[in-house]
Amino acid sequence: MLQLLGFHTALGHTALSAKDVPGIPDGEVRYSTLRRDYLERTNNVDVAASRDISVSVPSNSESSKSSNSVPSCSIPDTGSPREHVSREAGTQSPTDLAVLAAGEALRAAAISAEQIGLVIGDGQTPWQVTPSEGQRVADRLGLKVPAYDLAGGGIAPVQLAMLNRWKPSRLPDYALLITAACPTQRIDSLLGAQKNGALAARAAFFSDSATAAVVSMKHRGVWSVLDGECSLRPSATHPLVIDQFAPIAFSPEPFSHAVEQLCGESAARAIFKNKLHGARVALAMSEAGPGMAERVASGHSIHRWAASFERVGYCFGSSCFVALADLARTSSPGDRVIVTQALPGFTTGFIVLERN
Amino acid sequence: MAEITGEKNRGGNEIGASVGGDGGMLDAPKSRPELSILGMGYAHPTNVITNQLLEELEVGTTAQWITEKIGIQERLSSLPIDYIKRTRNQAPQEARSVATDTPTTLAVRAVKMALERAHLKAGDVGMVVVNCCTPLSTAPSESTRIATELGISVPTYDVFTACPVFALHMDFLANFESSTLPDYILCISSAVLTQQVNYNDRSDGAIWGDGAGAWIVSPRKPGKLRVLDSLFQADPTRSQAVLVETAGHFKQDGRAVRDFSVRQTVRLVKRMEEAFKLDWTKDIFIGHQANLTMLRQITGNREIPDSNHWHNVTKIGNQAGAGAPIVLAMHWDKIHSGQRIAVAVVGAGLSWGSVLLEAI
Repeated sequence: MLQLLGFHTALGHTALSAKDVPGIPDGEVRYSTLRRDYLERTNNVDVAASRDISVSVPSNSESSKSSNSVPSCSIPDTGSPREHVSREAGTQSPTDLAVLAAGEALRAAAISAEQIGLVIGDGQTPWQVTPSEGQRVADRLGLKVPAYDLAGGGIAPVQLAMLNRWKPSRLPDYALLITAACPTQRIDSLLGAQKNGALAARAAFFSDSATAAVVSMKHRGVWSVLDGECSLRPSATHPLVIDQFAPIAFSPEPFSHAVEQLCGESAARAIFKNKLHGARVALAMSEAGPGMAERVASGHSIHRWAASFERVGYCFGSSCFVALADLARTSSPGDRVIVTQALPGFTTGFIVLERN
Repeated sequence: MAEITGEKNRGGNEIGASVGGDGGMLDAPKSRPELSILGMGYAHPTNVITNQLLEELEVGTTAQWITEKIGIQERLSSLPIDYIKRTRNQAPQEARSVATDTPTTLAVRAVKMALERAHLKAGDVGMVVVNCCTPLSTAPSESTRIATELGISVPTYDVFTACPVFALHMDFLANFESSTLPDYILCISSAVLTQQVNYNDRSDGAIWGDGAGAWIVSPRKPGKLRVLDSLFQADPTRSQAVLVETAGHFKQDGRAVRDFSVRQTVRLVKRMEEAFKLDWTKDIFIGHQANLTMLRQITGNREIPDSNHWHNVTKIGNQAGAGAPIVLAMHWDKIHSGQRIAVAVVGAGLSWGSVLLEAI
């Protein structure tokens, strides 16, 4: 049975509030990898420009002003220039965030990078299509091991569900799973948008994030992966499109509605298949709007859940891990968590975890 | 990682000095995967980029040089020829608006051929894995687009490493407890790299072609080809040697990649030779379709006769991950029972792998 030994989510270094992006509700924060001075100067109108590679090294002092108000997730320590590729925008790349997350996940798993035998990545906003995100992270960690992407559905459900079906002899002692997305880099006119309307909703919806998880079939972890499933629910229209060239195209209401519906269905499937009716089980889901986890949990008699949207917005494959980190702090051996999410496309599914 | 100072061919001559360490030891064959390939298909666009055209672009190359150095005569592109002449494809975003094909359209055509050969319908497929280094979007993913276009709603994933993907997909599927896999898995590699080539660059323009390959795999249904062995490895510390920038052009360290490709392919072939006692009077070799000159260095080193070396790069160009499976698909009707086919592929990542097949 696959074991989850440690995981960590890293968020972008620039905290944006309602003062910056009027559509963000008062008291909430979104995290961007774009530097504040770059945003104020350009408003990210040219979404490709923030990915330009040039020679200037970002100032560490700017980055270190990031708020640390989300205790369960890491606001990255940007002290080491080596962890940032030099760019005029001072932008953290998805790989930068993934490496930060990986470092913390390895610490949580109490292993070193050299013990990793496989790296599997997933990235919705890569700076390079080739090499893959998994290969870029492995490169930064100095690893000479098989690395590739198993993408489209995040660590949960896709990567965990897949690896849970592997022959134990085929999985190295430790594998590192990665999901990374920096959607604010793909939003033009991020700052100063109207308080209401589609543009405001788009600007206020996302945070940039990466999650890393260390798994093993040979070594006991904090969580056992009891079950997992994933599937494609094709959509005639795509309410969220991350094109290679253009800014993100996004219709918040249909997207949020689809995520809630699909996560609800996945949760129901997890309960039915694993006979969890009436069991002590919690829900960690990728919220794509406020109150979503509570509604899904209530609709399926799940008594505990963790919210993520009001804290960090929508973070693609990291959202459910933001929620899981909250639940993990108060979980006890034997507790079960249904982790579910729906990613654009829609790939959806669930993982059932049990605290060891 | 061990330094390898030169690979000797069977005649004892070195084929080239080492450029850095290679991938260390190749794993010994594991227990035989229980996989079969039931059908294969391919698709290409129809615009032909000739060596003469590349010479006429006046970027410092000649048709003769290209033929002599890389052995490619033509490549098939989704870009109209007059567009290439007019713009040299300086703006990849514009290429999309004029291209005659997308990775999705090529993939769908390749899949239809594979399904027909496997005597299956799209609805029989239980899982889809896709490799695409030129996706239209990352959300929805290319695998989602292709599955939606085919009208199937099964688990779909992008399993991605660019060029060595035939080995990756087969080795990836071999990892699973076979009881957890559906009867039929659709594997696809599709790319339109000519849309991300800078045709002011004399090297890159000569290399790439567009294409899609598809193959149907089963863990339990018999097929024309049985998988005897699969391997996938990587050295990501050298991953920046081959780049496809999102919304940008392809770039590579040509010399380092060329040396790596030849040496690593030779090592992969030697591993299969030793473990499975390959006989090049009967068995077939398919390499990564990067360029013919490199392939001939490999076949020369391993003394593989031309008749047992299948390739298509001379007329289609480097089709990235689709290259090797397309070669196999193009020879599908020529495969005869008892034949073994050794596929050794290398590429971006840097990654490499092999698949040994036996025709039933």
